[in-house]
Amino acid sequence: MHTRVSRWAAVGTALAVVLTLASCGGDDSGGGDGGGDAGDGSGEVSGTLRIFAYVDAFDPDVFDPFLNQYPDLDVQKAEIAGDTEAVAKLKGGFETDIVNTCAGPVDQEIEDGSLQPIDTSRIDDWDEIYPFFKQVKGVDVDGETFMLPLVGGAYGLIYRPSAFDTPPTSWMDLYTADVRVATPDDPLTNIIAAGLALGYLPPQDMTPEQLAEVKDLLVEQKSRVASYYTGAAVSTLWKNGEVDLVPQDVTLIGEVDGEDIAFAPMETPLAWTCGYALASSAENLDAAYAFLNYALSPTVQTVQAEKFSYLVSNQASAAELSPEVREVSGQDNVEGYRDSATFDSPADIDAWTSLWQEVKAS
Amino acid sequence: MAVTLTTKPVEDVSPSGRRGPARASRSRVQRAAVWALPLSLLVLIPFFYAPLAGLLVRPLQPDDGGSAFSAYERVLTTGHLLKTVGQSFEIAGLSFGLMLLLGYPLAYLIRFRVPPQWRLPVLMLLVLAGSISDIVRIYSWYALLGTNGIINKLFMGVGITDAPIDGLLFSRFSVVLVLTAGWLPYVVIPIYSSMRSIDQSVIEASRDLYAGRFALFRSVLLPMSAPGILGAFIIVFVPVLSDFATPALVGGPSSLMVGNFVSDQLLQVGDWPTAAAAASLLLVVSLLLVAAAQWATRRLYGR
Amino acid sequence: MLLCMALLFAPLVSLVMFAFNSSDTLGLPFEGFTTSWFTALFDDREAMEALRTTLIVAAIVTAVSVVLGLVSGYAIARAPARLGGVVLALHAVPLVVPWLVIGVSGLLFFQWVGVQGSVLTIVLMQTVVTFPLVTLVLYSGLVGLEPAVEEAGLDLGSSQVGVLLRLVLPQLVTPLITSAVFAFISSIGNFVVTFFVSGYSATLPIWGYSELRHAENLPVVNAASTLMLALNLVFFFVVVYLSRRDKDAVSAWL
Repeated sequence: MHTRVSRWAAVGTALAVVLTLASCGGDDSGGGDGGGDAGDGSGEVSGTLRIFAYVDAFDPDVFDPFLNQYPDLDVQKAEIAGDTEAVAKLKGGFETDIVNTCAGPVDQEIEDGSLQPIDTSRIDDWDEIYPFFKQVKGVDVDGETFMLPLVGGAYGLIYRPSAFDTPPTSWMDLYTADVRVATPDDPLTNIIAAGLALGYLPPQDMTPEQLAEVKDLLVEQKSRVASYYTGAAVSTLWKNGEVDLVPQDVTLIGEVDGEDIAFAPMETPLAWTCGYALASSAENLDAAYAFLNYALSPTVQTVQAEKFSYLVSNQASAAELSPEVREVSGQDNVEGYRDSATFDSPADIDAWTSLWQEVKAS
Repeated sequence: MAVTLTTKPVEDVSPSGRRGPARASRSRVQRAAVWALPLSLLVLIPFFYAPLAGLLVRPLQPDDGGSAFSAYERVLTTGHLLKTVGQSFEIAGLSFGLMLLLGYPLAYLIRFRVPPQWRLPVLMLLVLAGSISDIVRIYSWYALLGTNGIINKLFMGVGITDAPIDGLLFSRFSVVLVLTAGWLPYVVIPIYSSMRSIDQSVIEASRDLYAGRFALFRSVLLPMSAPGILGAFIIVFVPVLSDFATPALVGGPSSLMVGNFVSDQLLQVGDWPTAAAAASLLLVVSLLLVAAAQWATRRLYGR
Repeated sequence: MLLCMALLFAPLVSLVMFAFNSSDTLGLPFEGFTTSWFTALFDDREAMEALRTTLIVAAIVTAVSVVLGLVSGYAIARAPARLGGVVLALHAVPLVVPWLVIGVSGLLFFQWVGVQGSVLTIVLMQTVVTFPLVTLVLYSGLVGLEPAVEEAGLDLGSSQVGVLLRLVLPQLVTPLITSAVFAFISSIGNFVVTFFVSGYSATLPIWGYSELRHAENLPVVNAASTLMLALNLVFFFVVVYLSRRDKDAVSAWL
């Protein structure tokens, strides 16, 4: 009998360790100051709000004021890892209220019926949004708004100066420079960048023959590609010194906080625009609109501009930024991005998707 | 699959021929057992067998019209998928070979060189090494194999190389290495188990008889431990073949495996019928491999 | 031997080392000792929530697996041989089907029945891949035991549940605890199956998978993994301790 008692004592100890660990988990971030001037009153906003977003959306500086402002709201978060993941998951029946989307994926999400239109009259600062942002595909589709445009930027090439004799100057350097490269694992970025390198404008209109050239270029590039990364993994790759050249915007420089890093702007910049959309499975619309208004407010956008060097869509937010921040993110030149290449989906996205699958498997 | 599997043949538990009142209670034990049988099936059938059946049927319901078998047809005729399948077998084969090469001697050492009271702690240490979450284990190799990683710094410091070695990370080499290291414990344990039936004296006697180490291995060790090798094959080869996290994280652009194709179809292309068809293919291949391994065991050892 | 040990333990050692290294890059040289990554971990709301989810899921999965494994292992061992064999085979299949396939089939299944990913779906799918192993372990422990005692118990008027609890259970304590430990460890480390059915809930591996993609969070994930490793180590000592007490029972099946 003695042995059995000691056995249970051992098990008990183990259990106690587990329970202690479990009980110190998940303490609430109580109280805190309200979110300031964002959105309307917090009285009617309650229940559960599900948000499916890129990781930068959940950055504590960006996200926590919202939680503090609506303490009664149960916010559930799911992270989007790669650009194509959100499209595929929503299509597969994943339910959410708010979904983070961008020029490019938004076209496919609209086509799949994954989104519902946004009632712009419920967006307080709608009229403050720069005209450029309102022209982005997906923001206005036959008079209906599917994406609330919030932030943007322009891709060029981020490079490691110590690995280059002369800085890269064109998209073609991504395919010819003899350095280690990483590109995101998604068809749009790769095919658009290769199309720009080959001089096909806009890349979305490439013919099958031109796409064949793109494919050759991408296959050829593989020998120098360290990794096709997902989501924000590029910062890890960069910081660990695994790559010297990536198609990215200035955000990466702040993210990796390194010294041997520089941004080479391209003659044809590749502009990205992201924002939030209402999923067709959205249930808590009051909370969803409160969140949309919060996301467009200067409270959030100034943080995004300062921390991530994003372009912001609300002119009222832009007005609060310091000249230095405006300079880095190119905020004063917003309307100039009209002439950039975009991340819009091509008419035949399936052809691009299978091209990318073939490149990866070759 | 962070578990060990002790494969024991189904033993016959039929009555040992006793008579009298014991018989009645034996049948009561049996009756109780029969009543208890369905409980776990109530979990297995709806949450394992039904989803599996659903997986096999899903490709027959294409999203955008199309013929019923189009997803299966696509999977079986897509050139790049078949190439990926071949690549998966190559990577899994290489890794498993390497695991045997390292794991077999290790099992031998544990069985015949480690004092009995230390065997279990050593085995548990192996399990401990295998118990850490796959994702973390894979990522921890970044610090070892990376451009600024420990191995490169060490080699450059000692003067073996003067620049970081290419292809330590993000190559087929790293995939094989990381898979081998991760699954090694699960190769060692079944082989060790099968060696338990080999008596120390047999080894010593045959050493006197055969002299050569290789002869000893071939005529005594290998035949007696082969069930363990086949067991290791079942436990390790199938999950390695279907791995997707390792190639995705340390594989670089040219080491894709079937698992990556499946997860890409789900999470990138959004083509669920094709994903389901590829996963079904993987299921069938896995079951065939396991059946073949079991058939081989039975064929060789009649058990 | 040395090479094996290096392969097996180098990642673990580097993991622990970098959890205490004050630089946030995973590379040499070491810059200094710090415990600040652990503080950062305990201050991280998401991490703590993931930790709690992980432990809750693991506790449920372990409990359910042990109960299911005990009942089914017993039933298979004592049922008529042919029937038991069929059911045993049904329990063996989940152990040889790739986890990727199980995860994907779960994803498709729950979508089909309209259930969103949650702690419940994680528990269900993890249980399905865990308890059959417990069944097999306990089954192999039971076939070696003579049913005579149970028969005597029934003859003396015990109920069937009573026989299971009072007569069968005490003989299985060591394999039960060992398989509970395995169930727990495999649950807290499970990535593949959980990944596909997790929905809005994250366990530590899922949290780590998304966190690891941000360079600045690597040491925090290392800290979390070091903690999990320490937890595994505790269980490791439990099993080794048990083996010292009960040599025969453990060595019989390991």
